[in-house]
Amino acid sequence: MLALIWKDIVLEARTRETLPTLLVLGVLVLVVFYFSLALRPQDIDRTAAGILWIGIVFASVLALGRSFVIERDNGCIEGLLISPIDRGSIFLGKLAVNVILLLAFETLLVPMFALLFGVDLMANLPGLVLVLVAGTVGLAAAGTLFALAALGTRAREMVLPLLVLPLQVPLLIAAVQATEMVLGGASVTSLGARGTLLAAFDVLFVTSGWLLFEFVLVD
Amino acid sequence: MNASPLPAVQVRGLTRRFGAATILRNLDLTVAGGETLALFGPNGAGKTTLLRTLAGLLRASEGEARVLGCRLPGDARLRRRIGYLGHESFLYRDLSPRENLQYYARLFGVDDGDRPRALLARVGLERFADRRVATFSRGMLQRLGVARAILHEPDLLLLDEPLTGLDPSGAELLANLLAEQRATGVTVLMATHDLERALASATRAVVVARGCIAWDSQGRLPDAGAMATHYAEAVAAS
Amino acid sequence: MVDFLQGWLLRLAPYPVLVLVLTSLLAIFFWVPTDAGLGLSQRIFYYHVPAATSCFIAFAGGGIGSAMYLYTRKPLWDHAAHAFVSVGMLFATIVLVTGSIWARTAWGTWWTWDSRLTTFLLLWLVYASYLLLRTLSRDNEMGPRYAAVLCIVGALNVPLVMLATRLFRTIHPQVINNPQGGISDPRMVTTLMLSMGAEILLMLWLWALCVSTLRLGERVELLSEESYRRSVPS
Repeated sequence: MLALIWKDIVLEARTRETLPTLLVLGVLVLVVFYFSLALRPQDIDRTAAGILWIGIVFASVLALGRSFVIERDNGCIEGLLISPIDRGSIFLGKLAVNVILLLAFETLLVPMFALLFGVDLMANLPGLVLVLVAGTVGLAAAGTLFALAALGTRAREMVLPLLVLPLQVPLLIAAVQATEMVLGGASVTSLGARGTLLAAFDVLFVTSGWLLFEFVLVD
Repeated sequence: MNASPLPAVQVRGLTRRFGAATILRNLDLTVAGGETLALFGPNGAGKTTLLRTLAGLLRASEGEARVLGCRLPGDARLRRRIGYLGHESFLYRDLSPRENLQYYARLFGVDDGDRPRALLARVGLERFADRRVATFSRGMLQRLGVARAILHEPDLLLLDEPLTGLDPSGAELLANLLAEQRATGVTVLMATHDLERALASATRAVVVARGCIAWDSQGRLPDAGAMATHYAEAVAAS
Repeated sequence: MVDFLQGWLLRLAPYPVLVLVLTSLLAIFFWVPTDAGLGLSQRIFYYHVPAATSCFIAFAGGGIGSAMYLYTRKPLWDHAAHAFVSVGMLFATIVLVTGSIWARTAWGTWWTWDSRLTTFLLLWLVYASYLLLRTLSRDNEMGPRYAAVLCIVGALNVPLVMLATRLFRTIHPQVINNPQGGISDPRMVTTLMLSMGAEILLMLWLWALCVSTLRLGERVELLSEESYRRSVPS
């Protein structure tokens, strides 16, 4: 499984396809929202967290759709299937790569977001990081599970948002509220139901992905 | 590994359907350990489907198949013992051959330093060891594919048209490799259209037509001319 | 098992369904007393709640069907799941529309983000994407498998969705309060039960019809492929 992760990271580093696209798209979304909503400084407090997550979700759905495109060339996915690695581990490996990629993207996006929207990140930085990681893992798990399914349709990876967003919306509700609280300085323990819900979604998506991935793979 | 008394491949009544089309029909085949079996047959006969099923990439619609003593579909341990080379190379274009082999070596749990290097030299690609695979010609890709297939020293080799893209020196290389594998008791199933070259390396030949075995040479391997006749007859009869 | 159930439903269901539906309609419009608080519009509740129940049952059935399909690989289970989701979508739409009408007549707004309606909206979206996936992957053999996985994940999600929308409620006020709280008259209970029975049975009957349609469709496809194969000399 580690071999898988290493290979994907090397490929990404070499081709530099996904990360820049993610970043540009993320920033674009933020800017578009800022202008189209004509936010006044007093509105920002209430809407900032939501806009950040929208930026993350839209950009990430793009990246997740592509995570199996490299495997499709030259039939590499079958190279994985004939090797001793078990199917669930393929999912976890891909998930790990996607999470790493998305977190790298967020590390660049969040400061830009803070800059553009004048948001103070320092109120509870570790808490913010935790919430971002938790939300990202859940989003990535759902996306990784269905990326292959999306590729199998006529519309290819474009259809991934349609498949996965409805499932991700409840996760988003929890993530946005948690982020808002954390940006306001609340501690992680005071997140209560939101934190539990986030964790629950993560567990659900990762576990079902791990168990069900083989059905998406083998004939 | 010496040829064991257990057959390497035992297939009974294997049937595989794709929608309304039946590609494999009630196919029966037994391959003893250590044999090098050449699979001939027209396009669409089911050679590829058979090899893919044995490799674990496809599940049979009906029938039973045993590979190296294990019922299909097998588990990770069985996959470690099988080497497969299909129509697609399973190689990553943006990695170098060395990196590709390192990756597969790690996936299969074998040495990822000396062995890939040695294999690259064996297939004549050591000069290109660090170039991107995207720059490779068809023949070079094929050589690398063969290296990937034997990387983990499998007990069973499934090769689907391995000679495509290989120039004469490449074909000779493959023949030598196959001889080496046979010497160590590896069972080889090779689907191909090249009667002459295949017969030079094989110990047995079968003709697959319309989803089942139309002709089997059993122990006595014919020469190329006779083989061509058998082939034509078998295909016409099916 | 699907075969058996579906066969019996097709044969036996139509008459009870007709009777129950007619009776419940009569009850809803003529027999049950008007609710003191909410007025005439409250009668929509007798459509709304049973539709929601039928919808949940259908989606649960879809989840089970999908799981059985992945386990047994028999296409009949896939048809069962597909039929459940289709029928479930129909009832989910009814829930959303009746909920919206009720909100309009009772509180003057066409839509409200209260937790129950929001849950149904999300469910509707998830299963709409299931149907979309099926359509888009028609050429692909693996299509039914992907759809089955989506259905299972969707079904497992439901409890979390309900929790999440309740969380969301902290921003938007709960408008449709628990209607059961106001039920005092036994006639209301009877009407509700009657309507519940009618809609559930109707759902099951529609399911059976849908399954047989899907099976016929599968047969037609196979036959047309075969005849094409025969007409083209290979």
